[in-house]
Amino acid sequence: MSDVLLSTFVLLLALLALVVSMRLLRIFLHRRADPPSPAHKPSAAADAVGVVAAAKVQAEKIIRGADLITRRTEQDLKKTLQHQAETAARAAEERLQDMTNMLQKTVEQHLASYTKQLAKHTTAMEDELKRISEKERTRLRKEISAYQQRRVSALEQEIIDSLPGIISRAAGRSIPLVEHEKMVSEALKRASESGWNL
Amino acid sequence: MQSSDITHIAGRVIIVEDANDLLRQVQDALHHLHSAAGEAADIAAAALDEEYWERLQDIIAKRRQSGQIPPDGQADTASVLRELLHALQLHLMNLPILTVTMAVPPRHDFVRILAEQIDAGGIAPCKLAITVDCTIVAGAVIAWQGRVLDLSLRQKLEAQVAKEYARKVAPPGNAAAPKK
Repeated sequence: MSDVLLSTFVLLLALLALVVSMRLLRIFLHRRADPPSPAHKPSAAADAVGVVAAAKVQAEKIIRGADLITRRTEQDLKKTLQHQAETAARAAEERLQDMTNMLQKTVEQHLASYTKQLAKHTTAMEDELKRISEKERTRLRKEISAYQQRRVSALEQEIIDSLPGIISRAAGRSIPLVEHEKMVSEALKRASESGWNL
Repeated sequence: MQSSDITHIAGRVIIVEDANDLLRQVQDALHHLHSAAGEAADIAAAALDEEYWERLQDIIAKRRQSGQIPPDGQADTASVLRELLHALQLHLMNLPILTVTMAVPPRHDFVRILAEQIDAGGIAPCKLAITVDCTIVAGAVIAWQGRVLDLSLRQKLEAQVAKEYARKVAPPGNAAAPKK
């Protein structure tokens, strides 16, 4: 920014020099309109030419200086911008590195915490599972025992129930028809004796 | 109509198969009496078994003797015949059934003997049905008017086994008691 101001100032200075040169040229022209004394005539013209030439030289010098300043300013500006860009890039990189480090640290901390909690919960769950497993085993043992008891009772009952059938089949074949008829007649006799009030 | 007349025709105890056969004959006779032309006595004689027709003739003869039917009244004879057959049909359809279950199929004459024995035992008029169930082993199961008398060998065996089970197998206070 200061470089731009400096360049502007140099240009203004060159403009001022040009204005002064023009002023001097005008004074010179007025003096020609009012002819001076013959004694001073050649010397004034020579002075004016010399002044103009000096002003011209001075103006060129100033313009060259301004050009030089402008080039330098451009170079400085370029350097400054490059420097600023590099600085910003480095800062961003450092910032990124910091953030990465911070994030990694946070993740590690959380991971450690979660691992610890997980281990704690796992132990608690293992204990709970052991407790449930033991309870379930006890319940199943009881159920199996009760089932065995029921099945044994049922089998005993089935054996008892099937005995008459087995005996019946064995006995039925060995009873002659006459004996059957006799037993039926006896049964009817008992029924008639009861007055058919069975 | 006297019920003694009907029981005279069908008998006090009639075997189910005989009762069904007689019922069919009576229904045939009634049908022919209504539809066919000719003498009523001939039609009834053709439809009924000789045994039953003779019993019917006995009843008709008695009524002639008592003067309920004129000696030559054909129309009156047909009317009495129809009346008797209707009563017999109703009687056969409403007879209660006495069921006797045996372990083995009976001989035919044994069923007749049973019917006579039951008749002699003073039972009310009924139809006798004999069924066979080999699982009863021996003896008989008698069912009469909604009641059952089980005098089978199976029942005796079951009772004996249950008694033995209760005595030997079942521990004291066991809920699994044997079936009665």
